[in-house]
Amino acid sequence: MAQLTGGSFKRIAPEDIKVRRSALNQLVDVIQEDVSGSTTRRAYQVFVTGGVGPGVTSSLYQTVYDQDFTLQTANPIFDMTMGLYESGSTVTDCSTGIDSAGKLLFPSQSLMMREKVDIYKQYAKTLLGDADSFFSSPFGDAEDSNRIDEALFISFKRLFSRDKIKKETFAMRFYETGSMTAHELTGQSTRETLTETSTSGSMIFTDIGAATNTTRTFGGDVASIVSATDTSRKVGLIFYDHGTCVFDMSKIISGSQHVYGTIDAMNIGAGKTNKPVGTMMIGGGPNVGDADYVAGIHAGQEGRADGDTLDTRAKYIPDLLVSASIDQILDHFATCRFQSGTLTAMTFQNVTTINSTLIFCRATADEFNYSTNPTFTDTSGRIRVIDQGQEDTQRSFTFPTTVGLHDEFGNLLAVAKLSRPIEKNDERDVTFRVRLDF
Amino acid sequence: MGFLDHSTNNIIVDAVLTDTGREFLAANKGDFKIAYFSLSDDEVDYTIIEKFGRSVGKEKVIKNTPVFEAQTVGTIAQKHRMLSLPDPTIIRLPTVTIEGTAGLSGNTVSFNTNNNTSRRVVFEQNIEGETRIPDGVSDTSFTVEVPDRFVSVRERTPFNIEASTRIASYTVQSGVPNEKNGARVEFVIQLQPGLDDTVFQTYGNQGNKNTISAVVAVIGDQSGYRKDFSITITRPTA
Repeated sequence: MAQLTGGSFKRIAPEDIKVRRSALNQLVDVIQEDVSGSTTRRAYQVFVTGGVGPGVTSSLYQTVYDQDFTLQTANPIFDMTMGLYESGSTVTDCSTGIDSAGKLLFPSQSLMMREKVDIYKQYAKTLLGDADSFFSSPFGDAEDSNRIDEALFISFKRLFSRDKIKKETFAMRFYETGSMTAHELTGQSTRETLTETSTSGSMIFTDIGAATNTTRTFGGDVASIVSATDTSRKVGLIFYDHGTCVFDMSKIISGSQHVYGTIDAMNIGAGKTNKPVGTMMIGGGPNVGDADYVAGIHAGQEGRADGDTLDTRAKYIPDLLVSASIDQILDHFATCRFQSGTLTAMTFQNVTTINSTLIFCRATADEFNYSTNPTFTDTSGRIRVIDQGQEDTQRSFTFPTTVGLHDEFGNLLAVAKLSRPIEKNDERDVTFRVRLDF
Repeated sequence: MGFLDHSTNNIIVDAVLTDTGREFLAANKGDFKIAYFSLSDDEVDYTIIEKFGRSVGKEKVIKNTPVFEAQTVGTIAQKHRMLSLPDPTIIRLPTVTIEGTAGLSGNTVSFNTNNNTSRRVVFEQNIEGETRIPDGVSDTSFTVEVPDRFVSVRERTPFNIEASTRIASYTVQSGVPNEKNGARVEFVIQLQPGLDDTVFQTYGNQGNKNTISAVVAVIGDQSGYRKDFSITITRPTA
């Protein structure tokens, strides 16, 4: 390239280039239908069992999209999974021991227990710095009652959480109470309620108070998620920099509620008449006192009829969390506990840090008063903006609409457009402040 | 490419990196260094000033000229640069022509794959009613932008080929100025070898796949004066 010594370029002085940092906030709204819908929630069935029955396949997490995830225009909003604390009662009460390699052992009525523990450990390692550590809300609290043994993890995708979540902007509408079974509500039929959308116990969980109660820890800034109606009731944690929420399942759902439905299982037959092979009824097994009752097993057996098989001892916690696959637990949370409508299920604001270069392009009174625009001159080369006969008194003027930013060799690196033409004449100096964001 | 909102009193500046700017940033070689700025007025029609007078005409230009959003393709983002000239009393500016170009008809230079596979282009600045072109307008070098798929500038190496559009940019030095101090430059545009049936079928004109049409631009490196002209490349009927 030639040297840019001519009249259409002006060198920018070093002091006219400034670097600034600013933050951009965007409001993100997730509607209930996106969370509950089967086409907007993607499962990755990578876990496969072998041995007894046809086997069980399940995801380790599911992703919620803003539209049908098979469409190319779909954007992933968040990943959802669950985990169990290794030393929590849900795991220890169920485990049958540890083998010589240190592997936790569980009865065959349970499913994916080691995976659930591993996911908890993975989050603990990333967010707490120690895979053997545990989450508690408030953060770091040593009280057993505040320890999160059964965790629901929601990790927002970077596309939406950007650099981080803005404090005190998170809120989630959640239904604490599951659909009632016949044993809980008089007059209810004996239908399965595990997959029935919940309609009661709507709660708002939020990070209100986080602006003054944030802890800086291994996983970045963290604050408690509380109930909006009772801010002293802490139900989880929000890690702002990671864009991850950790909910205590025992506090966001009525864990002691009776659970009743069909789940995949290591079963050679069907859990109930007319159900697929390889399933079983949870909350549908023999009751205490029945001839085929086996103590400690809260899931049903093959071929039992509906009417007399509502085992009321089966609860969402621990029974569902122990007996069901991660996919089916997440399916229950997504389809039943977030409702299925056009209301907001979750909302937050993200933060994007923007580094900007401010370039001050200063055109003095004598500069840029002529143009190479073909309409600037007539066919004879006469400047149109000067009236004929007024050449002695009138001076040329122009209307810049575009600022070009060039390198040393004239390469056009950036372009800035003004929303309207500005008059530039020999009595006016103009400074264009061009901001380039990175 | 839409218009920028001009319904408010605030002046909004819409800035984007061009494809070249993004390429330099991605290359991470430190080439992205802004050193100069230029101004241009591609949307403005100055005949309005002539038609409505300086006072009303100015208002019409400012209020009735919607401005397009910024364009990221560098070769078309800024067509007509503005000039700083040392003499504030200038009333005439040079015109640029390619009248001496071989095979020129109107504003089109024609090529043929059998004969006429190269054409000598003559670009010249001239001025009427003045004895000399003002200082600062007469260029010493030019950038020639050609569609690299079809043609090249003979005996020269492009300093840049835009990845997306395949527009190749060459620098040519002007020769001895004419008697009015106008820049004059000559160079040869030649067809690329291997313009086969596939090229004509892909890029040939709709309705006549035996002819390819494209645009060549000659831009003064100092003044920004530019001349765009069409080229047509014809092959014998298949």
